[in-house]
Amino acid sequence: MTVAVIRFPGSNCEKEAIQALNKLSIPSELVDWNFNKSLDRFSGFLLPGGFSYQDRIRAGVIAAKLPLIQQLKKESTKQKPILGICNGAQILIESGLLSDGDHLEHIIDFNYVEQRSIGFLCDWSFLTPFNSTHNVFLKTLSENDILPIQVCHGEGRFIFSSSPASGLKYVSIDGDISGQFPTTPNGSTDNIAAISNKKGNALAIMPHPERSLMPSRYPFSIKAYAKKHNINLVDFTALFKAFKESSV
Amino acid sequence: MALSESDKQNIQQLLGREATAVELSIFDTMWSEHCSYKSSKPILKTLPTQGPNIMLGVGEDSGIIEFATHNGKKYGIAVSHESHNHPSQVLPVEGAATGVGGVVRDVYCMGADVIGVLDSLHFGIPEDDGYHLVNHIAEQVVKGVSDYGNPLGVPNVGGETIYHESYNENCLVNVAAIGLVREDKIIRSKVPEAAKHTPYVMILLGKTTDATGYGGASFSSTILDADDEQQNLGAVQVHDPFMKRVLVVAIDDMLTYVENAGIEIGFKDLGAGGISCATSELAVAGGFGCELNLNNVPVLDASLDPEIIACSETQERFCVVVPEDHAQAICDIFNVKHDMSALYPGAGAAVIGTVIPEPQYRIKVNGELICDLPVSAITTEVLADRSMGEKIIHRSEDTPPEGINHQEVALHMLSQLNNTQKKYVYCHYDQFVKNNGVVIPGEADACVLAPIDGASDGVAVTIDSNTYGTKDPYVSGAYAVAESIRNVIAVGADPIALTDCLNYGNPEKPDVFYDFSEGVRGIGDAARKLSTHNDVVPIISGNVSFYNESATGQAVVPSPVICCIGRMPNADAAHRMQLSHVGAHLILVGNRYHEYAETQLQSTLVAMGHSVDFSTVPQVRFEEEKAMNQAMLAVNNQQLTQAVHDISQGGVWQAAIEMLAGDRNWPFVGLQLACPETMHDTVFLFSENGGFLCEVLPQDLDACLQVFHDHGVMAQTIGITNDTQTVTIDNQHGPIFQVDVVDALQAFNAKNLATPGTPIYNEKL
Repeated sequence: MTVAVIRFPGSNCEKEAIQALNKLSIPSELVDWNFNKSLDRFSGFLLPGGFSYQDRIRAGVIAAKLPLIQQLKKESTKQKPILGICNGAQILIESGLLSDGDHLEHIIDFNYVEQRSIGFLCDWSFLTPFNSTHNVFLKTLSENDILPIQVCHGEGRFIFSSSPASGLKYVSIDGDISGQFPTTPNGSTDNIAAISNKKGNALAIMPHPERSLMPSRYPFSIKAYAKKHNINLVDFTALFKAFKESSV
Repeated sequence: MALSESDKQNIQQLLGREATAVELSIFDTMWSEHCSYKSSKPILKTLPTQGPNIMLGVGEDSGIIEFATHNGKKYGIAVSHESHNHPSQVLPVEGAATGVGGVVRDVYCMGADVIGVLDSLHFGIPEDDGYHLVNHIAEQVVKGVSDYGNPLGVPNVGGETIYHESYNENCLVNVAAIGLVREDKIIRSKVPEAAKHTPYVMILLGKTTDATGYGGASFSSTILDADDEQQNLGAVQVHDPFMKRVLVVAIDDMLTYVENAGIEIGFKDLGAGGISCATSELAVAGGFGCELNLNNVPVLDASLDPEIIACSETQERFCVVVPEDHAQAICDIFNVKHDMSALYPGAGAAVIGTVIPEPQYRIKVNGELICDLPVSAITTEVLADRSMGEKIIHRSEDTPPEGINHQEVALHMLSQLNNTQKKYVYCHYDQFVKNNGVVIPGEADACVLAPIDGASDGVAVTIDSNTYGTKDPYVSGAYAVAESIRNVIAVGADPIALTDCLNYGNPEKPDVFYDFSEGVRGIGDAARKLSTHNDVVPIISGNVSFYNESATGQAVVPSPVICCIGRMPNADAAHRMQLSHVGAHLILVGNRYHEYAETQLQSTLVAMGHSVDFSTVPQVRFEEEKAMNQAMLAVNNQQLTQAVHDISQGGVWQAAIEMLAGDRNWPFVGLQLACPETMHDTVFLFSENGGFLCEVLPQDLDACLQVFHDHGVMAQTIGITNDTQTVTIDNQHGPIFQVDVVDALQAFNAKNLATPGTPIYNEKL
């Protein structure tokens, strides 16, 4: 069981991705964009965040054209878990790996709030899963869970032609899913923060679950608010366990 | 070119012949104020740069201070602190971005990993409400900082944004970069000793050389002049954080190779003066010479003149000096493993020269010698003779203003540009990448990182300055140091090192040079007197930026910017500033004085149409501050406090509101403040003398006050938290005023609320 963490030119979150896997004792290996051997021996794949190719043209679009991605698509048909975080999510979406037909069903566009492009936004937000049983990463989460998470992106607004099979939505710390800014920090359709393919083995998530595994390090205000209002906050450990369980 | 006729004559005398074009370009850079410190050097020598625990002091690209020991290995924190003011005024996105790009290079080239950057931004205040170049520059500078740090994958771990009219035609962009390095992995910026016995070569790493940034160092060493607009634009470097990211990843692999091979190398970034500066400094520092072949430099345009190839400031480049028989393996890391030329034409690694034993700096192109300088000529110390014009400075207490409505002043003050919450700036910076953050921007007086994997050791960082310098340049420097030290103490860390970035006007003007020298004197005194131990807090790195002035020749307000590094054994024990316990006591630590010149009280009263006559800026009383810091650190370490916040601009009032707001504007308590009988209401609320406010639980109150008492420090209960949604201020005669917390937070968030896209989590605002 080894998870390949795929580093593209411009990736910058590979270290914390590996740290997250280490924390759960999941063996991993760093694989570079120009890796030219078979991916067959890996049990799962993690595409970390960053700015591959400087987000030229559109975030993720150039990396999605690399030969390695064709191999990744082949591995996806074997039901191996594939997690794309932030730029990794953008690459997954642009590659079409999350669509079931031969055309793109989803895109991720610039953060756009109140008819205005707001640029890169960095903050803590909260997520809650939907249709969680349909995805290997989400299946142990329950639909009322509120998970604090860091948002750090300039292009995170999901737009889709068909509703995603399952995923995560932005929610307020109190569980309100009406999703106005800043609860939904990027104008994403239906407050979507993460989507999965229909088979449920791949997940593209814009915020950073790999950096939200230590409740003791949530911001003070979030911890104090939860304590005052008796809110049970859940961390993202469950999501990474998918890599463990899927090991063949 | 900024060389004067007399400079050129001196060069001719030095060489005994006419200098070549390349040689002149080298002197232009090396003799510029930016590189030579020719005005500032004698003054800077007075600063305390020696001290305990310094691993590497001033003189190289970064200073390094001992930080922690983990698994038997010693770790240091490397810091570099630079300004990029003129480029940011001319081309704000590129200028600010390359400001970040340059300062992180200084840290990477020590073998360190950059764990955070801090920015101190100083913008003008538009004269009317309409769209204004000043606003444009402010927005674009923030974009530049985020455009670089975010893709590079380095978190922004604190900063400040200061507004003042004197910056209207000359903004200031100062950036400090913080790195983590294991002691046995520190790399020096010089050709290693081993080159005496083994052949060594110089390898150029990174982006393909082009003409950008030619003349950048000398451009930063003169006054911005509209007539030179085209030339100035060309002198600004162009950033490419994508290439830098790829380069940093490859450098990491190179350093692993070097460690495994057990070889000594020299490593330096290419900044001012490009190839010529970096290679000559590497050679000179090691006591060697070198010979470069410019034909081996990968260039974007084959028609570039040799002096441009030698001196352009193309970004994202480093130079490494390695044993010749390892050169191929090292080049392969960049050219084969990371295949850099597939990402940018010509990028990667190339051997461009050899180290030679004779002390001569030579450059060849097409077999012809176009530069042949004795090393001694390059390192000739140049000094400029500057004179000072003294000022009259008032240092006696002011008379408190009569007939002011404290409630109106208090609310107006919160909404002033300098006092409002700055989330509208830092929400665009990635503050979290690398996942080392424990205390994040907005939560406390300093950010705290736990950078060593598996260790609890915390490093606290802060960057501070003020606008007291017009009236009292000495205090401006001393206060900046005192405030930065307080910020580190407030989270519970011990201050261990300082860096300074000194922004002033034209040093040829005696009054400006006086301001500069007084500022340095203030910094030095504070660094010597404010350590919590019986030694100094050493200054380990720094930078001087002169010629910051308006088109009419008015210098910017003296702006010494100080970065302070603190150390704490357990990062998770850090104190935040937000009040969260109902029924807790609020303790005021430190004396208050009627010193209001250049304070937020003054600017608020002026903005409200009052006439004011204050002459004394808030003084720094070293004995009091030192005792206060020692006591505060002891109280923090004994966990006798909950929230802690330092008192600075805006006084107790501003500090108290910030403690209610926290980082997300979720107030958990109301507050009842009582002005002590012995204090005037105005001095209680608005004095900016250094101090702290602490939230203390009833059961800890006696023990807490006892610690302050034992240190001889003034500490008194001034309020209590409650479960209302109001702030009330009383004195012995009754209520002074009462405001709703929501109204106070609304004023405090005035700029956030007016800036679309700024996240605000309190629906009531």
